[in-house]
Amino acid sequence: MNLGFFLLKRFGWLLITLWVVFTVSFFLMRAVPGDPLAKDKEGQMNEAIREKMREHYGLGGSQFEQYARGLWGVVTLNLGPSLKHKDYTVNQIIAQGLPRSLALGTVALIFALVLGLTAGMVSAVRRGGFLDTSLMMLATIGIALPNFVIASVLILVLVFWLGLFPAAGWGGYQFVILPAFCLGAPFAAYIARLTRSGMLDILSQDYIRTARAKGLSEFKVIWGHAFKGGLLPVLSFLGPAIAGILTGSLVIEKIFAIPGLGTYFVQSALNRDYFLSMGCVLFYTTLVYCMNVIVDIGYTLIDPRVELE
Amino acid sequence: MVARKSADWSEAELEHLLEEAKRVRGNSLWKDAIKRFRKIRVAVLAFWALAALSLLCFFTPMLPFAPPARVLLQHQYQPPSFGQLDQWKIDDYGKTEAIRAERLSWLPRAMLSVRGVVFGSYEFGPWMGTDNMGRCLMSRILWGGRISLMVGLIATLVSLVVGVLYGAVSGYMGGWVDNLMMRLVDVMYSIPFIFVVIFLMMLIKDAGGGPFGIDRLTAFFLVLGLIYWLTMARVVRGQVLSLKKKEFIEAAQSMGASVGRIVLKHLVPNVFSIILVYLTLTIPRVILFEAFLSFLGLGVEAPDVSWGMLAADGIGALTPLRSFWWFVLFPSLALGLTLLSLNFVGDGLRDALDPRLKDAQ
Repeated sequence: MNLGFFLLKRFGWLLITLWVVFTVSFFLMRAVPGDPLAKDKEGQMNEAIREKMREHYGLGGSQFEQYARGLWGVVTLNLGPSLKHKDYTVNQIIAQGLPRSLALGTVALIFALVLGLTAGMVSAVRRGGFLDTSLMMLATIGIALPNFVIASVLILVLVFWLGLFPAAGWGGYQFVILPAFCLGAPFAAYIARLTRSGMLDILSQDYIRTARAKGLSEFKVIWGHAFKGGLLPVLSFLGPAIAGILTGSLVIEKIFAIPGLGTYFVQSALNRDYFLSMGCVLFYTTLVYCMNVIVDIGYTLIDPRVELE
Repeated sequence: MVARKSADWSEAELEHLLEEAKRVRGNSLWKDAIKRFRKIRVAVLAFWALAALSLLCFFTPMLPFAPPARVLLQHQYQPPSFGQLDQWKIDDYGKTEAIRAERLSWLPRAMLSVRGVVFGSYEFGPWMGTDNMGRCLMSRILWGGRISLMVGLIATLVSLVVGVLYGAVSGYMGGWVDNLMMRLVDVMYSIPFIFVVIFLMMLIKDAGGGPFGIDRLTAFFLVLGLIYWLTMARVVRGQVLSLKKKEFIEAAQSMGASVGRIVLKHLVPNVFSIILVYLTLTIPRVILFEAFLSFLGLGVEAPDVSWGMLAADGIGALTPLRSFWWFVLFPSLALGLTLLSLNFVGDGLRDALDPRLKDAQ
């Protein structure tokens, strides 16, 4: 299948997915009793003011009109005003939080890849040895533990006992390292496992024996053949890993008080800021979807045997 | 004549074979699997640890633990010690809002009254210290364990029922029904559910169970269960699809076995081992997700306790001035060790039940 058609088809599915998410959220939101505006203000509200506010928030008219208006807003990439952050639109809030979350997520992904690939490769080369066993044990622990447990232990030791990092906040590279490590650690563990099993798979193939028999150096066998093979399963894991890092970011941003998109999203859910919350859900859906498409295309570039479908 | 004779002979031979078959008991898949499972030390250890923890959590109301929600402000942030904090009273479950006796179901309530009769006003000291409101941390961890483990079990069972039914129907029907059902799963797969669930939790909290007629905790169980069935449905469908065409199914059909018999006697036992492995690997994911939501303040709410909430409390109390290490360490340890054990058991079961590994040995 050629690339253009693939992208077109994926784009079509993205639209369907977004439509499903929007429609379900919209009607669930309306199924909840009570007026989102009434909760906002104490006491009585002038009927005229209420009417004006309804109009401002797009809550006027029949259900169907509201739905059509909301859908049109999504199509034109205008996610409406925020209920709690006065004078801000959802678009503005997302634009403000996103760069911080992206910076954190990117560093976390780099940590995960560097640590995971290194550990996996060392394990595969030293198969069955002490280093392999202990690294894989560490990987199992990393997969099992939630990131906030890892974060709390690291904060206790590295921040409060040893004083190596600032406890929380944003604004400089030293603020990124510890949160990004906590965020990336579980994925580093997964990547280490995948790299190890992928490389072991390749190392037991006949052509590796042939390569060794013809006198290829061990260095070339590992870097030229095994590592490349070990990279493939890691690449297909990147899609879920990116989604997972975005999710984990909600917790990590809360722990380290980073004013990113995750913090805004969680706050919006806690504050019952319906529009911001829904806007974030739609945005995250699109983001994860696009990342998966990019990973799929990347996969075909590295492994020509795989075709886009 | 000749034909009848050979038929007699083969019947005798058959008798003989049957006799022999009765004496020699073959190893069933399960016996083999249990044998192999026993050889994986870590998995066995993890299994017993989990069994012990579950029993402890189940019998917590009957054992002399302090009331998990009794606020004693004079005992704030007390490090682990053995001295009794206060005299135990059944009223402590009713007066404080946190765990109200009338909110408990009949079983823990009965257990509490048994405990009152047996142990009187005696209670264990704060062996794991106290929290920011002077509540006994050990008791909170155990009561929280009841909720966290229950969420894991119930939500996984919900996902099991939905996933197996959906997958089996889709695989068995085939054709356009299968196509449609799987397309729907595809669409749902591309939705990042965690974000949607956070959105849903906000609505559930607002609704207070109103329009749906169920309380929040039940709604929480259902929502969690309803997002983990997708993979189960895919796995079961794939299995059913390939099993449907196997010779032994055809043989059963040719001998006139009913659809019900084929499904129950031939399909389900073959899918069961994979379901079991997937099930044990889903439980820790659900528990983790519950902890994640409760940590963010969007899961289990204040009247109840869960491990995610305790972890959030602990991190919230971290200050550079004084570190209340027990407040961070013990909830994390409880959650971490449970998840680790569940993963070990799941991995062990997979290795024990994987036929490819069996061939290799």
